[in-house]
Amino acid sequence: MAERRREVHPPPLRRRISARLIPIWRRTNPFLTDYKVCMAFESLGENCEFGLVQRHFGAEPLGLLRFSGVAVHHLIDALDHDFEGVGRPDQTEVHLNTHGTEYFSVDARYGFSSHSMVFAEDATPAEAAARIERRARFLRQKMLEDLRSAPKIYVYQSGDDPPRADMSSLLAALRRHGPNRLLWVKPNPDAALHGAVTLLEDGLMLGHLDRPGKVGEDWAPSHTVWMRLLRRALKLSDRERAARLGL
Amino acid sequence: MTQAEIYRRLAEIFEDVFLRDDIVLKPHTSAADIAGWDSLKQIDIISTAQERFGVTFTTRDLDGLTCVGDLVRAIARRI
Repeated sequence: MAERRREVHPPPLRRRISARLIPIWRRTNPFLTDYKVCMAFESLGENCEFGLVQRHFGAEPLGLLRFSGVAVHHLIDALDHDFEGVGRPDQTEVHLNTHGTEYFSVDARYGFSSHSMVFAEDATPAEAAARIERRARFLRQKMLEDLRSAPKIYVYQSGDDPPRADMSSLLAALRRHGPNRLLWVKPNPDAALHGAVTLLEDGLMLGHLDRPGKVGEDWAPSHTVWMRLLRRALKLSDRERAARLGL
Repeated sequence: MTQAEIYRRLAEIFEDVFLRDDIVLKPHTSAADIAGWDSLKQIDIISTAQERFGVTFTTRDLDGLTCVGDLVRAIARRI
């Protein structure tokens, strides 16, 4: 009798809270589409590789740094100063690429260099600058809002090998804004680890790629390995978050 | 501001962003219907709409946008 009464009672409080922590689409759909997996992450640079991986899987999230090149110490500086001045005309340099076809922009304070996909045949330099600055102001506002609410896992992909301490500093800068998580992705020569994700510390994961995404002058990311590690990072992150809260 | 007025002003924004004057906006018009409507064009549309309508969208507004009708409703909510 006592057993039957327990069955009809609502689930224990811990279980109910735990269930609310995991977005419904992750709990109820074990066959997450690649698109949704990609949309759960946001690129912080240092280059375009992850933005191109998202595009490959049909995901086109709006992100300030999605197609930007940025060094980690500049990124930390920008986070520490709330990306102050990004999109202001006096802080934004706009120039044509070496072929004279596409406008590029550089943030003079933080050193972000970005593709604009605004082409010389479509816009004068003044028109291009106005459009690029407007975009940057909008994306800065969105970035700050996302940093506070922390809906996504940030991805920092590095071709070279920044020290682990830099990634801890980057995570600390992200967490100054909200309960953010960071996935650091880099190539690893150990084939057994390709596609794997290691939890380095609370909120900081390391994803292991098989190779850099740039082959010669062209981008050719390792899409299958990327998708494997993104899925593992999502799973690991949910488990870690629940454990941190003692659930 | 009426929905018709929002559509009219939004059509001007689309003309400026896509450099075309033959785009007809309907509630169900989406990126699949207009060539070149990618994520950067989406940023141009939204950021220009923010400035011209004097509104600020939240991330939740933006994540819910799938067609022009959604954008019109988001603007109407924020005006």
